Amino acid sequence: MTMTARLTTALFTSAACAAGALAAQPLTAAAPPMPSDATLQLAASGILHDGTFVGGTYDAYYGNVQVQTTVQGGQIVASKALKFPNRSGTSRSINRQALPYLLQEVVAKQSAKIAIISGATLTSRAYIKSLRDALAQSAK
Amino acid sequence: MREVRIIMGMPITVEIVNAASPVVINAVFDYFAEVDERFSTYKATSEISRYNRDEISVGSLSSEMIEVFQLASWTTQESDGYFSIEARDGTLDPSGIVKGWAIRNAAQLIRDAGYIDFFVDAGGDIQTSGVDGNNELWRVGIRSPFNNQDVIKAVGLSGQGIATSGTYVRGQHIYNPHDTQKPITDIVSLSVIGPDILEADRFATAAFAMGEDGIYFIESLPGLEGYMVNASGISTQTTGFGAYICHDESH
Repeated sequence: MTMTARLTTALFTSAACAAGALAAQPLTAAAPPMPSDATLQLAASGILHDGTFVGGTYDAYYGNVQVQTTVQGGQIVASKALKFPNRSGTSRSINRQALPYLLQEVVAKQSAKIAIISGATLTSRAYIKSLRDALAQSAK
Repeated sequence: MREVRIIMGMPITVEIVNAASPVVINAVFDYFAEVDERFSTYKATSEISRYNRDEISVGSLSSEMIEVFQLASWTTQESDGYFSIEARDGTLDPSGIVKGWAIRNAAQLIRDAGYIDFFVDAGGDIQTSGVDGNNELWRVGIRSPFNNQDVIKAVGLSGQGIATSGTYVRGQHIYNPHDTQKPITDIVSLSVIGPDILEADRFATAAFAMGEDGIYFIESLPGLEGYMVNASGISTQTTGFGAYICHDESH
């Protein structure tokens, strides 16, 4: 099939993107991007000391991330973000009356077949870095 | 042929339809590793880390670094200063632009090798090209900011890029302690479809920093469409976004 013919086919199916002809494919690396970093492996090796540890604060571009982790019996039992990006105070002077009405809806889980997933990763990296700090303290 | 590797601290997936050998895919992964070596602020030996420690002067920066700085500078101007690679301590962290730039360059590498039908996905930011193995659009799901396992929208792409910015670490228990009845309108996820992944990525990053107004910023930019989700689980989409949506089969 020529390139043009193939693209025409593709564009035609796009109009009815619900055609469902795509076979189900495994989701691409759906797991969060946790590093196979040696420091994080400390948790598995059982040399963590019990307690609650707070990691450093790292810039996640949109704001700071700081993680607190709790270790019991050498296992991580809880980790939470003490700080997370929150720029709700950010405002921008846009004259919305000059802009068109934008469609709003309540988000809902979709079951359409997909091949790839788009999602955010930026904050997870800062989160992992802070968690690593907290674990390093536990391992001392 | 599809392959996943962890580089730059995130899963990178490359699929080339009917690739004859792994040579090109391997070259793409090598390219990402090279970019990481140069641009990672997590690596003390990277060019950006050395520059931030004043160990190298502007005059001796690589052409890649200059190009990324230039792109960042344009994006800062185009977004009224909402995008910036300057961190609070004055050092430069170009990670907000490097990913999209690297994906775009990786896609060009695949095209130069003669392939048309492929995608490159680096940590959820994706460049599509041509069609999938069934001669259909590449179907891309937008991940739920509330549940890692769920997809809240599916779009069909061919040649475009899609990037998502978000703050997922906030978890699912979001409420305003001062007024539990008041819906929280903080933005938790913003996906942007653009003519290529670099455009989609840099404007997704800039628009996310604008909060609720970000979607209007995307609306104002020709060639870009966006899908924004706030902490109350309400989405807002630009006027042209609907054309990309794939509907559930049950509908």
